[in-house]
Amino acid sequence: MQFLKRAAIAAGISLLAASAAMADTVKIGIIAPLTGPFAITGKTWVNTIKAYQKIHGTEVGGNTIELVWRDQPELDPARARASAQELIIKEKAQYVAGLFLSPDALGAAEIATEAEVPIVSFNAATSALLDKSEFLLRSSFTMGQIVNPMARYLAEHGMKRVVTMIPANYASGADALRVFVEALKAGGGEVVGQVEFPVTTTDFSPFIQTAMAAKPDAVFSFVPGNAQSGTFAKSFLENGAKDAGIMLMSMNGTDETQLPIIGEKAVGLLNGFVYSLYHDSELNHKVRALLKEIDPDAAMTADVVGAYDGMHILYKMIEATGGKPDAAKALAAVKGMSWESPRGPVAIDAQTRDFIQNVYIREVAKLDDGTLYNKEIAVFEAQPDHGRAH
Amino acid sequence: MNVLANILIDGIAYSMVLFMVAVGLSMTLGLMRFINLAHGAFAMLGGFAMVFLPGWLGIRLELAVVLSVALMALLALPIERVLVRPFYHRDHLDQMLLTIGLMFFATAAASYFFGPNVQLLRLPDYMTGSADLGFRMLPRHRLWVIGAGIVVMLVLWLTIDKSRFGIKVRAAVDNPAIAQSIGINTSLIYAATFSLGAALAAVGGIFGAELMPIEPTSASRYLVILLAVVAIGGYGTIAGSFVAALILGLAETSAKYLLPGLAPFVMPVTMFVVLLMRPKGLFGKG
Repeated sequence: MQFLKRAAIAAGISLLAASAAMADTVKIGIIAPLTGPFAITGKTWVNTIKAYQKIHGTEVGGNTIELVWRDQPELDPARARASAQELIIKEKAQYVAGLFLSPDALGAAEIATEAEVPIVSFNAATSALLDKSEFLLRSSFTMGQIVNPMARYLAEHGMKRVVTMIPANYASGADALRVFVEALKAGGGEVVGQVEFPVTTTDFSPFIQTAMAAKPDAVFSFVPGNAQSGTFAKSFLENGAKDAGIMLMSMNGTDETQLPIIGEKAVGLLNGFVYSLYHDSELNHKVRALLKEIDPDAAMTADVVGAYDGMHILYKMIEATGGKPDAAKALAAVKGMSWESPRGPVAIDAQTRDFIQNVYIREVAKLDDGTLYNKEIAVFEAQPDHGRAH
Repeated sequence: MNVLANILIDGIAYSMVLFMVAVGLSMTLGLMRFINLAHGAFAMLGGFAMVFLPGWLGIRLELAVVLSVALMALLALPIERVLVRPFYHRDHLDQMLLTIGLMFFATAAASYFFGPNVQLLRLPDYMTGSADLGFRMLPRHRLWVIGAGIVVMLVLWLTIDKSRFGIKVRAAVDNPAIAQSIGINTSLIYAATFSLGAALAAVGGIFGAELMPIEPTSASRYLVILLAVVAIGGYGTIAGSFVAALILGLAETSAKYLLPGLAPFVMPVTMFVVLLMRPKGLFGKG
């Protein structure tokens, strides 16, 4: 009897030990702006990942997911690189994710190749990113991805004479402009004026008057930074450009954070983007409700879908490798994968690793309670990164 | 012809925004010989007050403007008494370090309490929208700023250059010992002038918000523009700031229309040329 009891206990212990060995902890290192000027993004990522884990759990295939956060308060590629290195070597993170700004993501990219660790950027918008390492993935949009459909929409809707307004000497603006002009010409449109303004401009009136003098059908604009982008659209309206029958197609000038500043006259202006908090789908409503539960003040921005889809990619890689570090297998598992995101259907291109997604042309409209928002009026489905040479 | 009219209209409108945001700084700098780099912080906080007071108190926007400006004038008093006063006779570098610290503190505090985003500053409806000038539209806000700029200039000119208060201020600054001995309360004069500077900053912050939107870092973001206006005008002269703002505004606007690629260089080049010829600024004394 005594012997049997001992054997049973021993067997029990070894069983426990075995299951403990099977249920590993998989660490994901996340480099995020938790403090500093972009802290709101860091906060949104934290909340969104909580929401994602409420839906999908904190375990994948019996492995517990552990998140290790590193703060990246401002643009500093060297720091991003050091953080990625530390996460991989010291923390033994199997994946690195987050990376808000493109130069930071590019800074960390070399580590991906050296250490053979997949890196998923939630936000970086430069087309150059994925070419930097075969272990890089993104859940973000690129400028080229969204401006190409914007140009095609204008051309298809009879707004063929366009003046472009972008900041002078601003690299990502110039890239966006190139893709926009190509797509507009391909659609039979023409650029009747190119206005460049200093990126520090506070008074846009002279530039808008210059654009109006060319009598275009539409103005395409990109104003970086959120301090001045609403000012631009407001100035566009108050200089009478819309009343003169000129449409504004902007990249970020009329997003929901700017609309209260611009005012009701913004109704009817156009922009193109990949996500709207008003996107009408069951999943989007569900994620919105979960986020509201987690933080009543949660901001519903593109940061939400960046983190949500980034987590999804990470979970699928962990599932495919059973929690073992195997970057090649992990990458192979998600290439060509498609799924439903709160923004709509998305996919990772099997060859190029582009993050394929819908681009929505939106029009500023008014809800019954008077809130101004962006209403999706046209969808360009499954867009690749038009800014990347494939 | 059309372009010329546009340059004049947009240039003057832009100039008046520059004048409004810079005049308070010019005044404290010139009259008190005190370098207040926290000027933009008062402008920013005044703007935040204007953003939130109408909603919190349920008052009319016009009243909220008056209250926000008064609030900044009041806030300036304890700051002057406790922090600024011990620095009047220290050198300019110490003053700059103190006030730049105040500026960072204000930015961090505003960011903590109100978040980092651009705020919606509402002005009464009759100040927004467009005004039809016949051959083009102009934001109506600019007409009000042009009017307000002229009024502020006249009022300050009367207060500083023509009134007894102005005489006392200048006496208190030029020779505090004698001023005190003939019965001028110099502490009071200093406090009042600093407070007036903060009030003017708030006025500038509120009426300049159309072009320089209110957010925590706006306290430092536009500091270079303010300092350029003050340096070109020569500090302490209201008329100097007015003329400097006109020169800068018209020069920069001309460049935006005619040579847009060169627009960013207009402000530094103008400053360089003016200070080369007149190191104390256009209207600077001594």
